[in-house]
Amino acid sequence: MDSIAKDDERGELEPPILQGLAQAVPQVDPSPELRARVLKAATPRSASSPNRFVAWRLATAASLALAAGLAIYTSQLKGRITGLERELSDSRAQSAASRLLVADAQTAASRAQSAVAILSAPDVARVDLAGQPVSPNASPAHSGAAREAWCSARRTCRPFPPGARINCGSSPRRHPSAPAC
Amino acid sequence: MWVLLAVLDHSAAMSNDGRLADQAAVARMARGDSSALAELYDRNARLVFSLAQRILQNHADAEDVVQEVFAQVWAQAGRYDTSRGAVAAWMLMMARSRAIDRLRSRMSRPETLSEAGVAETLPDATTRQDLQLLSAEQVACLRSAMHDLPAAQRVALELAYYEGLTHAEIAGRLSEPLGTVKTRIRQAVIKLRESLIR
Repeated sequence: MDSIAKDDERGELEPPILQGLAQAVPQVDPSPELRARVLKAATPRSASSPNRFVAWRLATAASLALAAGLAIYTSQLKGRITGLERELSDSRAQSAASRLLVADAQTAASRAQSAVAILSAPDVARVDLAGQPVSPNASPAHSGAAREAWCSARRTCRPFPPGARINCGSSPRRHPSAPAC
Repeated sequence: MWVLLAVLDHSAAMSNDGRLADQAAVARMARGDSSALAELYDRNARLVFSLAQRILQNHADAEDVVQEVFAQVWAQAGRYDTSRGAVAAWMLMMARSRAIDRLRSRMSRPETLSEAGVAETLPDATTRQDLQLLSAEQVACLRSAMHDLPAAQRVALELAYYEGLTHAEIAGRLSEPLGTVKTRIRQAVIKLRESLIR
């Protein structure tokens, strides 16, 4: 057909003629052995359509079940992750609070240690101050003059002379007899 | 006369029945029913073999072509659209292509009429009108018209169809001008068409 149709001949060759040329040849029977060869060459298909349909449906059902299982498992995992994140957040908050407490405790311990170090120093000396009556014109700032003081003279300091008057800028604690400001 | 008409009607009815049976057989083959292949072979092997034998002029080669054609039908049964035409016409088309390919390889001609690809042998929707078998009486008329053709026209047409030669190749083979070959083929086709119309 193709070769006849070349060179602009196709317009004159309608299909019935082309098909008729194929059918118009003298009819000859093939050998009987050819039938067996043809049928033998046609290997049976491994799976027929109904079986393939059933297999396809089974595969689909299995896929759906697997997808549903995965969805449930994913949901559970998501819940567990949320809970763990919440616990982690709480633990972090507790940890931060603990660190603050420890820092406060360390500060307090450091202060206490400093005070103890001063009081337990080997060259500490107790000085009993004689004190004097409070001036009636004294301002409240002077009314708290300590009657006694603990001073660290260290070795470079000279001992206080007896009856000396010492005005301290600060007093570790107010004397019980001092009037309240 | 009435007897002849009755025979022609019966022939047409048988042809239509055969076409439907072929389509049903291909549908069964698509489902893996190998007995359908046997039925299809019994109905069409003679037609396919005759065409291959006519082209190849060799019994063994023609049988090989028949075997290839039926193997291809078996392999492609699932993809064959029965609305595209008669199964027998499809097989004849494949047989002609394969036989001419074989003929050309025998003559050491590299070009092939059809590609070896399996998918390309399936009939296209645009060629569905090519896949209608003629009735027995139409074939008889055509055969008679072929017989009545002048020898030069018949030879040119046969070289074109049964050997797949181009017009230029026919002109070379016959040592005739290309225009003469074209004219002969055109006149032959016109006569064949008229025989079918009558």
